[in-house]
Amino acid sequence: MAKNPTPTEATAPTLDLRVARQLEKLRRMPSRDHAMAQHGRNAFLAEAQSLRLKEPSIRLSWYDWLGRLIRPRPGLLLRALIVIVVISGTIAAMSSLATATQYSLPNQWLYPLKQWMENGQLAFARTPKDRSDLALTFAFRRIKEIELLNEQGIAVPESVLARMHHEIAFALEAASHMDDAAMQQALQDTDGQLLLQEEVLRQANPPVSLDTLDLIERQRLWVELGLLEPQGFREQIRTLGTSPLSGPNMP
Amino acid sequence: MEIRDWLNLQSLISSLQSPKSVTSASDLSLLQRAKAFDLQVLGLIYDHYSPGIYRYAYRLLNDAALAEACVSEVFSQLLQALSSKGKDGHIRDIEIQLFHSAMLWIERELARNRDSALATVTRDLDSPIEAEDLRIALRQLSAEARTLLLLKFLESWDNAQLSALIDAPANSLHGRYQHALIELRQALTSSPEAAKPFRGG
Repeated sequence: MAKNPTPTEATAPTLDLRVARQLEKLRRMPSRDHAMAQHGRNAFLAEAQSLRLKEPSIRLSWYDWLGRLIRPRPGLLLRALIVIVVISGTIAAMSSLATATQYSLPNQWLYPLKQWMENGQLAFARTPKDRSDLALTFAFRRIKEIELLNEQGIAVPESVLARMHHEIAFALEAASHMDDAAMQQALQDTDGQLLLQEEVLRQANPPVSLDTLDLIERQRLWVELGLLEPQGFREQIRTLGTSPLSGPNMP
Repeated sequence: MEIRDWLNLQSLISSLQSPKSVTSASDLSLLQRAKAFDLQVLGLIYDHYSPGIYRYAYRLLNDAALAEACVSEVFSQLLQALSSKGKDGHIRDIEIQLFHSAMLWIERELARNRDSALATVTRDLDSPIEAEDLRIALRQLSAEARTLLLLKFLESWDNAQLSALIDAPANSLHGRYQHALIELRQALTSSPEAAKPFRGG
């Protein structure tokens, strides 16, 4: 082995660098023929087009499908606008429905929905005061419904009267769970509703049955008991439940 | 072209210029649109990648027609892979898919023309080396070695791309690159006969 390497016996790493530099000779090359390149491109896109037609289903995302439903295909901004309009419209429609439902009468198709919503609200009322306030609010609605039916010359359905009595019974039962001061206030509010009911029903045309007016009187007696003997009132309610307070079951 | 279309194309061009494999949402969107045979996207892909494929093929084959044939074949294979009837129907990176196909196509082409592939060159590295000599030497290397040399040295591919292409760990690439250089040196200086170093122009 030579002690002094000849210029041709350079070390491997240096040789490798020299080899790597030689690769530069391949960097320069003739320009690509534009016509051939374009021909190849056209053939590629033609093949893509034929494959596209043969595909059983084109894989599109959900927004592509939304765009296909609306022609011409909307841009991102327009798609966002459509989504906003749809959501706003849905909210507006639901608000309108809720409003219409609230003012619906027993002879209208939305009335069952109104009853269903009121039942739901009563079911979710947490405190005795909330339950009492809600029940009296709904009882007041019954009075307004009766007045409107009277104006239209429509007889008050028995189901509406029964529901009204049951709401008063519900308010009385809720009051029995309050302390003395709160119960006093709740019973006074209930008595106010009962007086209003009596006044409206005495003017009903066609007239309501005497049983209805008698039930109102009995409910007023319960109120009087609660105002005079709160504890006795509570014990009576617990013993008897609400059935004697409301008459027929609530629809 | 409407502004909306122009902006969409600019974002697609940016995603194509990303050196990394498909990882971002925009790359995934590009791939989704390619799989849906969006002709605009496919045209963009062709315009962006076909020059690199052509250069790679021409540097090894020294034939414009063969290089264009290579480009056509690899892009046709790309379409088949994108379609639902593709071999596995799953592509992660379009660039890797294309160059891998080109690597295999050139390997088959060189095997078909075995006579020229077996031509050897004997050169002293101190003497001028012609481009054709380099090609002859490169053809004697393995497909992986010559691809590494061409793409790393002449196309500035990074290790992440190369490791994805040849399916090797990134930390092994330096060694493979050095080994490829040694192979090329041996191919440039070796001869089937014991020949004297050639000192010519």
